[in-house]
Amino acid sequence: MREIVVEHLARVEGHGDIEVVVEGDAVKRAVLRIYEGPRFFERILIGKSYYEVPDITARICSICPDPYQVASSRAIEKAMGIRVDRQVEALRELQLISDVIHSHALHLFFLALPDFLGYKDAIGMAAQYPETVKLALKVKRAGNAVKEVIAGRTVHGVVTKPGGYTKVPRAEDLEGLRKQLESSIDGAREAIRVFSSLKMPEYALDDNLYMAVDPGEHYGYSGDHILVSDGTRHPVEKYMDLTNEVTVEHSSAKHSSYKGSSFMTGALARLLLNEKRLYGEAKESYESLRDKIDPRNPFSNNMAQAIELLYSVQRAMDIIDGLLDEGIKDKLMVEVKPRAGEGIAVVEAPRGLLYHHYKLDDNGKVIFANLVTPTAQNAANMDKYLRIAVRNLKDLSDDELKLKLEMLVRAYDPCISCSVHLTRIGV
Amino acid sequence: MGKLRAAFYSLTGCQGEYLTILGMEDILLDLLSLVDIAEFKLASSKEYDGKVDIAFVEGSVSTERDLEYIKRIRGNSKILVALGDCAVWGGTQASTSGQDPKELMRSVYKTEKNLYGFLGEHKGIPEVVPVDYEIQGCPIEGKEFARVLIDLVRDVKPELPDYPVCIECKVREIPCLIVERGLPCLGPITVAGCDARCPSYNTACIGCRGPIRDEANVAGELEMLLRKGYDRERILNLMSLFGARYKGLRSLIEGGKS
Amino acid sequence: MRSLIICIGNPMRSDDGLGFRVWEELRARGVHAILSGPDLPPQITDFDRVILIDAIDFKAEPGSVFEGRIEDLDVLEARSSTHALSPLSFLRIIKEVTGRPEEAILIGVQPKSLEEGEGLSEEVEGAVSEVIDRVMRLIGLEDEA
Repeated sequence: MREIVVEHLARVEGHGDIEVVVEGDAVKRAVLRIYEGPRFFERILIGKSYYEVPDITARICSICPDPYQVASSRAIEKAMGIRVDRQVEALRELQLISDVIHSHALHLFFLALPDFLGYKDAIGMAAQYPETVKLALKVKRAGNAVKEVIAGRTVHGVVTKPGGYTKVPRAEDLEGLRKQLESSIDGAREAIRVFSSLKMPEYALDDNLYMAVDPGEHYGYSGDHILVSDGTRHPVEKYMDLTNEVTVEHSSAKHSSYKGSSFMTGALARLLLNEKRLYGEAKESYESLRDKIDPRNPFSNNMAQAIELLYSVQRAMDIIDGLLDEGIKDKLMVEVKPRAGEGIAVVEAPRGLLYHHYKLDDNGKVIFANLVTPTAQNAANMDKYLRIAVRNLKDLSDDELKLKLEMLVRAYDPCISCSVHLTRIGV
Repeated sequence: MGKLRAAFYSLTGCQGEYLTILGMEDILLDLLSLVDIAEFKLASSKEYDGKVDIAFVEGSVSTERDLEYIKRIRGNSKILVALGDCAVWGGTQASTSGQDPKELMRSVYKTEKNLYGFLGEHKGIPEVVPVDYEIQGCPIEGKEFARVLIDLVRDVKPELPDYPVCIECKVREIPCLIVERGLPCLGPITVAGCDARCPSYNTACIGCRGPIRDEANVAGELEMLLRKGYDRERILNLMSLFGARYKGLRSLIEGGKS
Repeated sequence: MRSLIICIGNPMRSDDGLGFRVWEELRARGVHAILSGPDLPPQITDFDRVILIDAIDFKAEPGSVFEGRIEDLDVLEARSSTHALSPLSFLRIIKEVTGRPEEAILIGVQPKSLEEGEGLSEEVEGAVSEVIDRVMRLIGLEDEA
């Protein structure tokens, strides 16, 4: 019997081990064992005022607090029958995009790339590839700059609430952001250049199921319907049928399935399901690099993130142009009269679909909360491909095998803190 | 003189402190060049299991693994710096303090079995081992961290604020949100350092930097907000989000139960 | 505008002694400058402008002189090794964190050698007068020579 453990996976967010047990020719076990401490966020949410919910849920994740804040706000607004301004919706899409830019830049250049170039980290990489690292920092910085202006802070924004935004961004700040985004495009192009020049590993291939939000006319990160790669489209209210979470012993993250099958959500899923909605240079890049995106290979998620990075920078500029043309309103918050209700919303976090479901009482206090996070949804899919990889790489030495399995997990860009999440409790 | 050896460790939390540090793109490489980084798992696959001069630790002590880890880290480091609200005060998760751990497990994971080694409570690091410096925040302020790092590297004692956010509001001439607008602002009991960010953006302080150690007048804050018409449960809930382990708050909450 | 001139360098390591040499020259002309190790003195934030003089590896020809604002510099200047703290890094961090000094300028010279030993190489020696000229121009004094 051969037992291999990668302890405390590096260059991923959160705490997890990869555990493999092989007996003869049979792979007995190949799992991502998540041991991130349980924080019981659903208990924290129960009894809290609706106003604090986006601040609380943001703390679930530091790489993607913005999708939490936006999803919380939208779900609560649905519960209370509140409509927000179109400008608020545009700003929320911008907030989601800023997170995608920052997160993809971080993941592609600092978490994933070192493996492909043979380094332990990006600092080691910087000496040999100074231009790449500089461009990476620049585009990551641009994402964070947008977060600072729109959300008020890069990690755990402070102005996103049910009803809108407490802060109104100034036109000159938006103009500054637009310039900064424009000067950072080369960083996005660099991501595409670098990842298209690398040969993605092919040791874990299989037909896969994908899910993503239907963003409407343009490729984007919000909507109220989910697209599945089996050709179906579902309203967000049916999210439980799309996820079917269960507790598993080896992981403090629960596992999801759809019709008995694991599935993948994230950049690759979005690209495969919404490619027709791309436009501009990102669309051209995608078209010329189509053969680099293999729907049977989770490693294609890296290339998909690179395309999304370029798209997101350009889309952010377009949204800002739209806001500047219109003129920013001087108030971005509607009055909220707390009332009882139930609301479900979905957004695309950088890593995939994020569902928020709340029930509120007459005073606007939370009596029920359920959140389903992207990495929790991907957990079962990661285990599936780990198993395939181990079967194909059985003959490698322990060290070589470990690195290859780590790279596979990193391709999903897992956010482990998020995955250890919440489940339904309360009424 | 060679560089000091430093390591960046994580217990239970969202890793917001390290994301904040990595988010200082303009000076990131400069910052990281000030020390010889032995281990920083979020950013690097370098591993090191020995003694360090400075150990930075984020995250709360929530599981058996966390407890064993922090004891080992304390034994292996000359200086231990607790980074962030989880590390100093147990974080938002510490607001579950006092709740039955079996019930917590059952409600989330549908089992009473302690599958993940939960200690029963989420604690701040100072509750289990001596800590040399506490940098508060949720997340920390990157600039505060940079200042502390420079001081430590120069063998200078870092100075950290011990006064409330209210001072920063006054300096910025922001009219008091409690007095002028009746908002449930926790500025008076929260340690300064954020430059009154939230009040400047038109929203009340939620206390994310945590209470001022030994000096937060939580009883006074409760009185003040009760007078403004907020119910006791809402106020105590708010104060528990980032200060649940503060002893003054514990007694207020327990006192209210009788 | 209050300026502080900081000369960095170790005269026992060949061209690393550039800072020391410039400091001596400035002193001879009655211009006040300080010698510093990598860990800059705390009073730099009292000044509006700081001029840092150091031997820096820009992968250029030995003796080449570079002048620029520290914000514009390539963050990956190669002088930061695992053993040496970089005064440039300190200055960048302090400026980012405190906003002071308002202006931070580096005048650097590409070294030929940083091996143990005394004395500057010919190329770096030849750059000293250009460095002095640049300093004088920045602080607004004409060169008498």
